[in-house]
Amino acid sequence: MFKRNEAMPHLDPERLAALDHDALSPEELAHLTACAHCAREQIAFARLAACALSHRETTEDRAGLTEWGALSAQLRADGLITRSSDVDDATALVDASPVVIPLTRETTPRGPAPRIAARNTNGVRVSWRGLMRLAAAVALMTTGVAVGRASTGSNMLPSRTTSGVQPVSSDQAFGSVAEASSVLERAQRDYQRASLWLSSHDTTVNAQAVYRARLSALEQMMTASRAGLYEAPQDPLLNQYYLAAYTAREATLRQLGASLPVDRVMESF
Amino acid sequence: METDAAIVRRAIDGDERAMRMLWNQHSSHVDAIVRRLAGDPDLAQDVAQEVWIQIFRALPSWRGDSKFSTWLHRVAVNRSLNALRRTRRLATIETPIEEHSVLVAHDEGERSMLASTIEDAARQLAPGARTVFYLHDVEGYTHEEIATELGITAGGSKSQLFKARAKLRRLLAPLLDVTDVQTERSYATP
Repeated sequence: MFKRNEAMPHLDPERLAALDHDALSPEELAHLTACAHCAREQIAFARLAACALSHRETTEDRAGLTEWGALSAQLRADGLITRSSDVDDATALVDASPVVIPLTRETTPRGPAPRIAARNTNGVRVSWRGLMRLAAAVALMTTGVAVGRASTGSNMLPSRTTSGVQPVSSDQAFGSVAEASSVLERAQRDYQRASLWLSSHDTTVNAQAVYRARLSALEQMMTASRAGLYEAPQDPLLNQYYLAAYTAREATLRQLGASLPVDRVMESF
Repeated sequence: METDAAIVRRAIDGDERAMRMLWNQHSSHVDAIVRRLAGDPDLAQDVAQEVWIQIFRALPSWRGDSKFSTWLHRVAVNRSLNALRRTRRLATIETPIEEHSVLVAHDEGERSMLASTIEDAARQLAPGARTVFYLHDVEGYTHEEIATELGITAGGSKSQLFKARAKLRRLLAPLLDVTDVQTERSYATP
């Protein structure tokens, strides 16, 4: 299809990088039409632009850079906080519950959640109630696997911890809602880290069919929890469901990508 | 549910609970901005708290004519740049754009520095080029806005952007390259 245009050298990369700013000259356009190399480069720059756009949304689910205790102390010292809140107050705790997905007003569709039906990746219509049941079932299954591993003495998580919150045994009562919330938050972060670590290191399952089926189910879970969040965007439980499904999906995508032959790439998903 | 305007009013009045609500709702977004512009995890950690304090100081300037999240985004970018400038890590922005020092990595060692994510690749750009790339291609700033924000010319912003893109394209070859081999279209249909 393409033939090298001998009359003109390949377009400079910085020229191709500027295609969305400066129109091509007729000579450059003719070359781009005829040259397979430059055409591929043009597509690569378009992909880079798409990556840059999506990058804005993909880096918002990490551990926080700031900690409210230190920040509020500074705000108090600067005279910006003049009325302190009671952190053990249940209302305050609900307010302070971490919102882990970027469901801003710009990105969240208004209106009721899709109660009737949603379409999964295979084009099959499934009911909203069914999706919620599926989400609950998979969540229970996930919990069961975790409990099972724990009961057999398996080390589920990397030993290094990321916060100062101490582990709490199953029979230990929590001292306060804030303490329980901190433990839950830490467990959530550990779950994310462990899932992503396993995606790079666990080679016990290496079947593409398994990954594909898992991805399909996880997308249904994400659809269900996202729809729930439209109605209750501040609900920490729904956020956790969503985050767990999202993390598992990312990990599985990595595993599927790694399991493909070297001459194949995932182009879309 | 309490409106943004009501929460901000309480925060301006010094109500810690209102401030904490704002921090909880927007910290992940602000963190992402700080991380992108800092390009270095330790540096991001250093400036994040200062950025938040500056955001709270700036709250009275939100007049409600734009969405709070939109206003916050702009302020976070601006205050991050200010904080980073104070750390003198953005000194290379002031260097002439014609200098090839705009790019940190050199071609001879580039193959060993191929990156798998745009974030990893951007870390290999000089701070000025990385900042221009993030502001234009990720944050959606115009070159005129970038020029004002960084104290450079719009032409300089464009030049740094094109150099940054060309460099990123090379560093992200595994991610961006188009192959002629059969591609995997969907995981759902083997």
